[in-house]
Amino acid sequence: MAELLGKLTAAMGTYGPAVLFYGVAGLVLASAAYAVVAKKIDHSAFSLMACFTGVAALYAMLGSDFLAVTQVIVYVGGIMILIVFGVLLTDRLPVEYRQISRETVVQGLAVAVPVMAALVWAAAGTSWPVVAEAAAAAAPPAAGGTDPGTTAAIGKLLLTDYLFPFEFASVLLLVALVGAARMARGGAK
Amino acid sequence: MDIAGPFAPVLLETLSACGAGAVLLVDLFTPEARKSRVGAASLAVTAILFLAAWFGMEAGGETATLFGGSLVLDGMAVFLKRTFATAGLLAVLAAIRYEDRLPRGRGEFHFLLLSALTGMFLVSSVGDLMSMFVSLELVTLSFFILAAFRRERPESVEAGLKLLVLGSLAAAFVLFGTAFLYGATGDLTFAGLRDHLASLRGAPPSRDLLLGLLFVLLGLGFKIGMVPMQVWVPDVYQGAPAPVTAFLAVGSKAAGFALVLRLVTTVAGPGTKDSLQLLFTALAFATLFYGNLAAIPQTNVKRLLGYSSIGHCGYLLMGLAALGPASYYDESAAASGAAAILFYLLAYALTTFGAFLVVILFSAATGSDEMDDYAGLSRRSPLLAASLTVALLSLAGVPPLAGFFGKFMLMRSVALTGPAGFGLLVAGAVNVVIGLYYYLCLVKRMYVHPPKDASPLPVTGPTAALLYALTAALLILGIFPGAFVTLASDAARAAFGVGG
Amino acid sequence: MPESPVPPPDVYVPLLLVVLIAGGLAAVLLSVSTVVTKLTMRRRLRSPTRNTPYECGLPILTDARTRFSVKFYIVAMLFILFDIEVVFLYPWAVIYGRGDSARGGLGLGFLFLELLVFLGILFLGWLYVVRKGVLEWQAE
Repeated sequence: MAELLGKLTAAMGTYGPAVLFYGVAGLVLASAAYAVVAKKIDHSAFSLMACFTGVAALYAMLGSDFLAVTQVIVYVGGIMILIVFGVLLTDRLPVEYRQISRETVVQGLAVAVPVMAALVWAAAGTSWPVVAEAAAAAAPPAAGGTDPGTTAAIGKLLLTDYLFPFEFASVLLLVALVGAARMARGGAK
Repeated sequence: MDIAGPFAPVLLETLSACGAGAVLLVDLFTPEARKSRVGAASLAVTAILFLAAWFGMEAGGETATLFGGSLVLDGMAVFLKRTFATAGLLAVLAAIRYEDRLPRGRGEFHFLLLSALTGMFLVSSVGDLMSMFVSLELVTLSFFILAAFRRERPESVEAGLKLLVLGSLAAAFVLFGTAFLYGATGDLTFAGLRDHLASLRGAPPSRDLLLGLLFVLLGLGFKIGMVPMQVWVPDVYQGAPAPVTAFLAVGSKAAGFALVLRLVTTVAGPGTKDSLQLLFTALAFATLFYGNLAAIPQTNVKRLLGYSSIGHCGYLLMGLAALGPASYYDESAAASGAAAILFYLLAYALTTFGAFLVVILFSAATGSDEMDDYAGLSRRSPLLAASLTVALLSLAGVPPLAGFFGKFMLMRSVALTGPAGFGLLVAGAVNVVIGLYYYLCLVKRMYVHPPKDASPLPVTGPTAALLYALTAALLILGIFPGAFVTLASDAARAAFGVGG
Repeated sequence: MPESPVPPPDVYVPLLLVVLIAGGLAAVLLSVSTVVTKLTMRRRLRSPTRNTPYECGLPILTDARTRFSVKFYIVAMLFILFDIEVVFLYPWAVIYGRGDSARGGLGLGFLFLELLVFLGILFLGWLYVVRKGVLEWQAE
């Protein structure tokens, strides 16, 4: 019995992360698909939220903790609110549902198929080095380091080499703010 | 004279970002009755930028880098910044002429013009893909709001929406390509990309790198109006407010070409130049014929200029096709292609503003952009008709105007590549004839056709001075191009690493 | 397996636990209330009143799902922009106040200045919103 339990624990250690990863990935795909096909727009919106959250979980599992947090703050916390507000603003509009014509499908496929083929072609010809393990082999982290995450390293780069994009991202946000106010109000004042 | 020392790479960007902020502040604290101050502030900012770009920066100086290579200041960047500063000054001058038709939001209008200009300055000296994306988005975002600025007009909203949706698609392409490039090289800087390619020693680069390059190029192709990414151009040109259209025509094209040039000078090498030449030759063919043929049946002046701008993108692509096939590969051909692009962009900026200024003044007086209403303009206002004619002839490439010398340099660089360039050379010549046809159709209307409404269109003193100045600039650039050609070719030679 | 700079998945076990507890709590509370209702109620209550959101309030006048003013959307958009700003502050906050090696040799004052510039630009945006009355709600 104890032996079986030991084996089970070992198997969990070996396959657990993979099972978790593919489980969450499946969930992400399923919720994304439901967001597309759902009949009610609010169902689509909430399904999209599940998708965003799942993607954050995937980032975390792949070791990109900063990206995971960003995903939660921006997408789950921000973009979702915008989408839900969008639903509020547009619900019950006299919507004319347009049947997708065959012509549109053909045009879409004419773009999508070559792009997909190019992506598959590139993915098939790429070696996929595992950076994390290679980096770990090159430079083991200092003993007692409590922060194995990527955030500090990103912060350091952002404030040194990428200082200019950092500051100009702020200008970009200012432009977006002025533009959003201008567009939504139509220059009321 | 170099007034900024080691911070020269960020001088203009910082100045113009601060200027944009200052204009916004002036707008916020100015009462409604005195809003013309906003335009004056904006004009002052662009005038300072213009002076700083032409007289405060050293063109032939050492290549300076900042922030670990994420910003680069070389001859090419200086030349482009001068082009942008000129375009910015002209855009603000044109916007002041246009302001009366903006019931509200002059402050935002000038602020967005300046923020787009900031993005353009940044674009011309980016050294890595991250800065490239941020600066490109700064330009695109500002332009999309500017295009939709006259919300009361459906065409304006349509223009903004098209720019937003298709621009986002292009941004996605750029970003996706960036991710591929980073994955392939492990480095975001252009220098890192160049080192990676050099380390291959002529072996073909990996597939993800090629795909990344292609995606980034397609995304940038949107900005320059290159076939097959050109669908937005005519609608946006027609619908956006005229000063915005002029600035967009110059700014978006030059910004896109700045980045394409950076990318091409980075990746052009023994292993890639054959395919690059083939690619750009095909793109130049398609873009030239599409733009010029579709321009013929147009009846709206702004739309006509939109299609013709696609055609001009085709001419500019000829400069990239001058990279040359392997056996004829000649660095001087490649460098002369790049120099021709730089010169052409400057000439195009002046010419486009020359044409659009007349369009703005005409539509302010008559409320129309239709070509039929231009009939008999020579009798209603000889100055407007003459300025527009000079600008159109420069666009068509008639000597002795600026546009002629630009086309001459592009054709020459293609001719330098040997027999492989002959097809493109013929295509270019055919397109010059097509262009001449539709530009002259408009000229004929202005001079031969009788006016429907013979009332004269008065032009005030400062406006007339601006028109004279632009016309003179086109003549000077065409007759005495020497100094500017030297600047452009020094910059291009340095970018290709050819001894000057 | 060599120790990697990437956090192993078990770092997130507490997070997973929180998610499970939150979800479990909701599931338990809902099922308990359902079961208790079933057991204690003599007869089934299924009237239109029973199904309204506010059983003991004013009668509901209209559907809640009508169109709302676009002003709400401005609030949402402004929120997003300041939300994205927070994302940029986060890595700054992580390295600020750490040892020199974490800060990449940057002085504390310089770091602070970098952030001040970033926030100063956005302060201009705030000023714009306030001066232009973007968030004013009076009918125009």
